[in-house]
Amino acid sequence: MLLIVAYSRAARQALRNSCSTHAETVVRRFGRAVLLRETEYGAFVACRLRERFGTAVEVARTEPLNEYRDVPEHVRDAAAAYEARESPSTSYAKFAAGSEFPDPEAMRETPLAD
Amino acid sequence: MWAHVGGETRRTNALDLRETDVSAASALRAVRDPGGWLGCPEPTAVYDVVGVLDGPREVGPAALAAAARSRGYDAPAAARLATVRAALAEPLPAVRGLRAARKRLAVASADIDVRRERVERLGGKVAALRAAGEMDDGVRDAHARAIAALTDAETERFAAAETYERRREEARAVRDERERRLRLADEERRLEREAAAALAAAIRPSYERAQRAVPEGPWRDVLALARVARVRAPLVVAGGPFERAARAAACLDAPVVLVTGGMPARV
Repeated sequence: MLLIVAYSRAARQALRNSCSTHAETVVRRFGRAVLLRETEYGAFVACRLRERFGTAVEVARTEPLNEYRDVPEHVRDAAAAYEARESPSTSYAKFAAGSEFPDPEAMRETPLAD
Repeated sequence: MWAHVGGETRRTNALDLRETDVSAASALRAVRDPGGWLGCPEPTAVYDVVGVLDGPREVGPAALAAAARSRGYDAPAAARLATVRAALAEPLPAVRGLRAARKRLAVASADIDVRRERVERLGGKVAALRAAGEMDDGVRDAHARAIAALTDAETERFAAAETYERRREEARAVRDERERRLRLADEERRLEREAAAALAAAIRPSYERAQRAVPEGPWRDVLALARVARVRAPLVVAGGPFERAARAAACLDAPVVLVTGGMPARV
């Protein structure tokens, strides 16, 4: 999908207006952001806003996350184990300390592979 | 004030032009025009609110706040409001070249695909010729040149990707700043509302006294507003309950120009 975020009042208003005009292209609306269908028309709306507002709009192409394809196994396992922990008040750092689960700092430093 | 009317210059605080064909609009123009037929102190901000009295009007917090400001009342939020406005008036850093960087990266990536294909095609040819034992120098040289061109293209894409990344970081910083300003703009609006409410509350006792000092009737509230506002430029009163101009000036505590009512005054 195409994610458009507005960073000025004028851009926010224009984003709102184009959402009402092109409702069929809108997948989801948030406060200052909108997800558009990934069609040529969605791209047309995005490019127009980019023409008009420059960096006051941010446009990104998003895709669903498939954790079995995009996320290393040790990260998936850590997430599953942490969500199944016995004491809800344990922080992840504490949970991972001394276990086979990855250190949170190490995960922060490691970008996801493409 | 002084006024050139009917071939003579008059000096007065209460000018009655109801017998002439001077309209409210023309009187207002004369007040605002320093070179016009009427000489008076320059209108201040509150004049926008009470300068022309041409009919009954509902008096809300914004109008009362303007009157309070004309009397030198200061809202508690004023200092913070000034800070916020100054921050919002600062120029926003510009990001240049983000679009060019996107284009360069896209072109460089497409270029690599074309050149890689060529390397593969020529590589296949070289292998086939070698297998057949009939090596052709021309084909081998073309293959070597294609490999060199692909290396160049990869270098270009690497540079393009780096530039794009840098521009994107700049854009992110500017968006952080824009985000901060959106919050400041919300705060500005909230402070303006608070200031207006505080000023309106501060002047309300004077306003209520003024309501009892002006003539009863539909014009009462707007006349009371004009009475509490401090104005030195003459108020243009189009119609209204006053018989004598001097009475209007005394009641509104300001110089007045009386004109015939019933015509739109705003120009």
